[in-house]
Amino acid sequence: MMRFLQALLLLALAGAAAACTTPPAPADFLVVDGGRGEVKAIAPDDSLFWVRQFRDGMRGDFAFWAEALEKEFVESRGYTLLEKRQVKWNGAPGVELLFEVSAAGKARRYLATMAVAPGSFAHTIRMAEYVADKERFDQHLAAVRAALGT
Amino acid sequence: MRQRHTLATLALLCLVPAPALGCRAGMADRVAAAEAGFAAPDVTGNLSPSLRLIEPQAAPAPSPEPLAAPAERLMIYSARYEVLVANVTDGVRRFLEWVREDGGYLESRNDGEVTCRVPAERFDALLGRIPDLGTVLSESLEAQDVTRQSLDLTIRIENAERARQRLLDLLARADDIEATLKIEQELRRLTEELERMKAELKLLQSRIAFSTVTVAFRANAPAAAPVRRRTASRFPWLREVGIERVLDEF
Repeated sequence: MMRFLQALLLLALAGAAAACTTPPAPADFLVVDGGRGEVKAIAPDDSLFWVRQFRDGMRGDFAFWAEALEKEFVESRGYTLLEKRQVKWNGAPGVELLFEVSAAGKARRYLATMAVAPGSFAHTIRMAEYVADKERFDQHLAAVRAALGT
Repeated sequence: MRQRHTLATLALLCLVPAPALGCRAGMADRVAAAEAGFAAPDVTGNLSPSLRLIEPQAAPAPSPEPLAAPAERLMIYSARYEVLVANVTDGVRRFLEWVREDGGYLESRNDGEVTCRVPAERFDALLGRIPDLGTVLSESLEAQDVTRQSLDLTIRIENAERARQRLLDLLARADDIEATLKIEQELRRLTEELERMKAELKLLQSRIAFSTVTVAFRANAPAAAPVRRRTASRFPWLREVGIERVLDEF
């Protein structure tokens, strides 16, 4: 029983540490802002990388938020979903959605990775976003996934 | 002796007045001739003036059978409707389903106007269903009696075939090169004319067998405005993510 409580405490501490530290940025990206589980980074070719987290007092589970996110982008905003895959992000189940979007007069690709870390009073929703011009998107994709560990 | 006979035949053919032999003479002339009590000259098709084909022997009087009025009239039916509907797409889809069920087919479609062909025996039934599509704004029905036209065409084809056979017989007997060439030339022309008439008859029969129904669909409501996409999610955190926010915040 004692060991179980110790393990639980360690997990909670690891989670808290992950939430408080700045996530790594992909190689070739310059970090422009960061702290407390967030990072903003830009590549020389203007590709953008942003990791954030949101407190979810309603404590929706991963399946709920994964569906809500996909519907928001596809049905409400008209993004074109190119690919969807299940991933693990910091040990939590996550989803990676790849979209093609015409934004600011350019064809762009947008990678959204989302995971839900359960908490006692509130869940933490982690969101990583990577935006690049359609032609340049693949150049940084591997580095982005490596930075997230997905 | 044989060559002289061929030349005499050709000379006789050249002497026969053209109007008496034109294939257009057809049924009307034959009726008139029969009523006048003498045998009308046998129609031999549209032969050129240089090669009229009437046997020197007296031609038999035309048989009265083809002249008898057919018991059933041959009619071509067509209808046109203008229908007010709530949804043009749905109206067109429904109408086309009925046409297919009736064994018909789509002939043309231009926006909300659809023209279909349906078997003549299903024509009335289909027209009876059109008010179910919506409010009928206008309707017009046309019936064209083509009994005489069809009969005339049939007789002309029969005559042309007989004339063609006679030409073939003549060609078999001809031993003069000039006459042979002329007969062959006439055969070619007559064959083409025969094919044209047969195609015309086939088209006429098709128009008799399949009636035409045109329905112009009009929407009774303005076209629906494009659905406005909701950009603000009911979940606050979802409003904070997305490509627009990423581009704005950097």
